[in-house]
Amino acid sequence: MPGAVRTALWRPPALQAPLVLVADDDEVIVGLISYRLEHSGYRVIAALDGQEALRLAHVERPALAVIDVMMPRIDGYELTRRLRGDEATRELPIILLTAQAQEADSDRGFDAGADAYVVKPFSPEELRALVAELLARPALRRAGRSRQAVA
Amino acid sequence: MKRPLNLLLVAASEADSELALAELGRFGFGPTSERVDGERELRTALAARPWEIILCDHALASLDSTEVLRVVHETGEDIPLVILSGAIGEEATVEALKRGARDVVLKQRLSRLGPIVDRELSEARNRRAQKHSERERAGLEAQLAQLNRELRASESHYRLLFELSPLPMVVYERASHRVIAVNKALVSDYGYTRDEFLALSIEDLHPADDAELLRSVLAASPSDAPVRFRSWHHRYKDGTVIDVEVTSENLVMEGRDCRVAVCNNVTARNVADAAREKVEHDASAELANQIEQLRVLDALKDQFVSVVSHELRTPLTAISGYLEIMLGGEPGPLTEEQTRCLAIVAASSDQLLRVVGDLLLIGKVEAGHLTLEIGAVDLAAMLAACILAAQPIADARRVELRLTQTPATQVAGDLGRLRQALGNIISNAIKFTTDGAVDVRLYAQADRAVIEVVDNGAGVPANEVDHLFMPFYRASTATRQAIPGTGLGLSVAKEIIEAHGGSISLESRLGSGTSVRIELPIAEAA
Repeated sequence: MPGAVRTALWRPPALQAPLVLVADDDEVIVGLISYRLEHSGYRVIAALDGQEALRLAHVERPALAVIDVMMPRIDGYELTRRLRGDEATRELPIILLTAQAQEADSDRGFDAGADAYVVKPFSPEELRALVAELLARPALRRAGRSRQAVA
Repeated sequence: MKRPLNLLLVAASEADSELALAELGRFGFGPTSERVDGERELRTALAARPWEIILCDHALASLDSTEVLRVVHETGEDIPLVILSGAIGEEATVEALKRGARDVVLKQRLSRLGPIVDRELSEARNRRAQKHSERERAGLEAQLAQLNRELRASESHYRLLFELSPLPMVVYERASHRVIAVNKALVSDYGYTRDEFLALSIEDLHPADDAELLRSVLAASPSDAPVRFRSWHHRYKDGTVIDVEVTSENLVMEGRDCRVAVCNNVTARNVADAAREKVEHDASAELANQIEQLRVLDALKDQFVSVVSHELRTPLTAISGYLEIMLGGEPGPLTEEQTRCLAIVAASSDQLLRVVGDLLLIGKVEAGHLTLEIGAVDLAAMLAACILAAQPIADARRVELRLTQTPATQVAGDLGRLRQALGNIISNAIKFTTDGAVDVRLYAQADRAVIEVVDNGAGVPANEVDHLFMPFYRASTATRQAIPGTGLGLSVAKEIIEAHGGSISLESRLGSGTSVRIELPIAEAA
């Protein structure tokens, strides 16, 4: 497990630690991502459907969002489009999660405005590294989003 | 001007001749004459010139007028002969006229000679003209007879053609619609005798359904060109109704305006056409049904792939994700035994994930959707990762995994897919081997990267080697020894390697192991 050594030292999240919104209707996956991110110095707020995720994105102003494609009410693509279409959340870095291994889906994800696309099953450590990378380069995002996919 | 006259004087005295010539001269003739006595002289003179008239003295002792008439008649020429006589009894006159003399002139009344000669010349001309026209008429009659013979011959030819045609034919009169003639085929097909036919009209051959159309067709002035009706019906004497294609044409027969109709029975053809159409229709309905079923199955398959994809991948994400966290030691320290157990769980979850990946890939290949995300792939690093992932399973089966490689072998390819392919092959090698070794070798050969995966395990029978790359095919060795698997691994590997422009081959010997050889084109130095 390549990330095991780096994440071995756990620190409690700092008060001003970046806030990550995790949106997935599967609580086990939400738990897994939350565990990994919270044990890596991030704060996490979770939403179990797209509607709730949209509300939290406006109220809590997270630094980044990890969004599952298949969700009830508003799916991940639609949620991404709405976040991109809103002045308040236009710059929010978004990572889309999908269980579909179809190439067409990743194109749909990028077309909707996602910054990165992660196919299940993924390594929690790789996801954490991707979160860190996207948060480290806010300036680049204006110049055009890089297409990044993690399998 | 005197009228010329060729005159032959037979047996006349010189004095009589002079008198006759003088009389004729007075009448207006300018005769050219010759005077002959005796039969021989007469014949010579007749042959020498075309005489217009002969004057013959009846009293001549050597050659009487009867003889002269006979000789003249023999020439075949129609030369009028007038008898000149000093004294002739009534009886002799009648006799001479009976034998062909045209007239008798008494020497005492010679003045009659001119008018008589004039008349005879004119009558002879008429006779000749009449004879000529008779000859002409006879010629024309002969020609007509010949034409009639030819016509009758040609008519009999046509009658024969009509009679012997295998197609039923009927001739009917246009005015009355009466049947005038029928041929043998019509008689034998329709069941009426010839006499019965001749009592019928053309309407009687049609069933009631045709009546209205038939009336309008018969009322219309018939075209001189042949007309074809494709969908008539005829009715046999016994009531059977048949489909006929009728071709009809105008014809004059025995002076009457008729129409000849050729009646082609197309019932069998129509029945066959209808049957064929029905078969085709049924077949296409059946085909449509099958296509619909396939569509349903295909939709089910897509749904299945989607379910497998989502419902298996999500829990697998949780399993492998939490395993990663557990093995990372964050939740708490692990004993060596716990770590070993969790490593096997992790390897098994990888194996399960690979099966899911294989199923999805075969689904894509069958749908023609296999696409590659091409990047630079370091084969040495990729193989090391494959071996690392397979190590726990190999350890559990006490199989030694060995990697021999030359460095810096790079190809252009889809890293995920190539890992999937090699993962399958290495996994197979381990599964078929117990207490043995699996050698993975990587080297470059010309412009190809070669990967060999060689085991010393159970192998497969030679006759099964060709089937191993078929989806879901499982070697008998695998089923007998209850080696788990889907039968997809090698077919997936083949699809992936070939999609990269590479090749894969397999050699195996039962009991002594299997070797798989993969060649991939080496990427051009960028």
